[in-house]
Amino acid sequence: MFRITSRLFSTGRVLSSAVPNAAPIRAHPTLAAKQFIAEDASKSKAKILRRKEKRLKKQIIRDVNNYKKHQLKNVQFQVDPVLGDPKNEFMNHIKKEVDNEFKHLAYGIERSEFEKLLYGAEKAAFDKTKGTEVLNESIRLAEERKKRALEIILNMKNTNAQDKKVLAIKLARQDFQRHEGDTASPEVQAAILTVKIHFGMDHVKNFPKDHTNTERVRQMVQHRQRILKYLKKDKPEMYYHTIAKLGLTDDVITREFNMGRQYFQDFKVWGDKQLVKLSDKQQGKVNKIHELQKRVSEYNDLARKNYEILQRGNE
Amino acid sequence: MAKQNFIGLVVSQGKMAKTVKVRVQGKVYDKRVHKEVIKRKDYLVHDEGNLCKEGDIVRIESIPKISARKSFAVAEIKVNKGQQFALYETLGKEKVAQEEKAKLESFIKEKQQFESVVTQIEDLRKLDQIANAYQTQPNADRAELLSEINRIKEKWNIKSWPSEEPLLDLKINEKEKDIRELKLSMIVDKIMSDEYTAERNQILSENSKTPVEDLKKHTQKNIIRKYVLDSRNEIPFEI
Repeated sequence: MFRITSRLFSTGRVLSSAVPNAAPIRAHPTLAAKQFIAEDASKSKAKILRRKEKRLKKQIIRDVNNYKKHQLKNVQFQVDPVLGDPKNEFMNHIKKEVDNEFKHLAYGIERSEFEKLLYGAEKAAFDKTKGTEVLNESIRLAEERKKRALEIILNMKNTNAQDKKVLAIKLARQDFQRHEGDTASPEVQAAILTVKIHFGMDHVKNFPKDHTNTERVRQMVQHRQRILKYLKKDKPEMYYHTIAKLGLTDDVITREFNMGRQYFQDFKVWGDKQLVKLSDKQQGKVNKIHELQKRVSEYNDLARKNYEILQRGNE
Repeated sequence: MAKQNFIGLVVSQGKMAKTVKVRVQGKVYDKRVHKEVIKRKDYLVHDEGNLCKEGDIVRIESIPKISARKSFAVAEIKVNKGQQFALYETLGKEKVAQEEKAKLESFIKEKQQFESVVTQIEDLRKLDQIANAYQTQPNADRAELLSEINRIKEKWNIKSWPSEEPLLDLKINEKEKDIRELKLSMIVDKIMSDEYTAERNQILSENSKTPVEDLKKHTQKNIIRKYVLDSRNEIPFEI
């Protein structure tokens, strides 16, 4: 029972983000209780209003504090613990690079080497025949046809997923290596795992029932956490640089996380689907918090309005 | 009487103004189980300058009570690990931003390199065509063709056309690796043999602090290997 309740709000986001905090004026929420007593109001009426104000103030303080307490207890992750910050350049850049068919060719062949080799082949064919202009023209056409065919075969669009992953891993390694040929320093391992996790998550999104793959991705996420935890102990400076580069944050690494159904629901991996069923009691708790949050935001709105009225009155 | 003093770890910071939570750990003898057990207690501690960060180890000192739960203040920061980490975090972010800029520049450079290769190949092709025209078409303007040929030759530093030397350097044709690297095992075995004992001992004494007699055979071999791989070092025989 304890485990379920503790997990309930552990990865839930949305709760805080829905609170409108774009207020330019910081009016204290207790101002929401303010009762404007008309000058010609009778004595008893004024007394009733004053009492009401006092009562409401207490209520507001209690609600605001309860909500604050709840927020402190259920701190959300700063970024997605699996995919990291979506605005991060590292993975966006690698994905762009893999799709760049003009720069890279399949099977790890370099574009400039490809051009040079084909020129050499053409020249060799010319030298072999040493024929007339008509013959030369036909050889040129044949070589051009060959080149076009090779370009289609070696296009990144036509290659398999494995080949794309290999290229992505190579790029990630080159980005993070301490020296030429470094394949196993913790930051390189973390970068490679990040690439693998991103490719794996694409599959998870498309094939929700492929549990084996999901499990594999989950293990990789945990593995990355472990490696980065070690790096934090070993070289803290390098650790903070690495996580900033990978688009992760410290809490994602140091806090407990399991890529379970709660995560898939909270981060909407398969759309707006309810994956974790709550009992009536648990649902009741969630609803209570929602109501509390709604009330607090209402107080804030009302307080802001009252504050403006009071400011106008003073002027 | 001296003021009450504790040493503890900052576990929470930034939630309350000028206040941090400090965890103090100690051992207490438990009468029921007859052994020492670890006891922890969290104190709310006054931190006037908001200096502490999570992870710092601090010494706290008793002060007259200033609020319901605060009767201690931070006396000194013993290990500023948390502050260091916070600094590393900002430094890391700055470094990443700089690297992004450098990467953009390197992209442009790479692109220019590739474009230069493509233009070189196009020029070579043109050179072929002109040379062919020079031979086959007798009524073409020879001077113009010649000047064009010379221009391309000068641009890419070609001495003669058709040339025997390689014009484009391919990765496959790259110069063979250093001969020492290729014949490494042969060279090391030869130095390790009895024939070169004197030379070997000299190399070992120069490259290791421990006396030669105390070095094990595999250690000797490793030192020799390192010595051979450095191309500045001389080898006692011809390869």
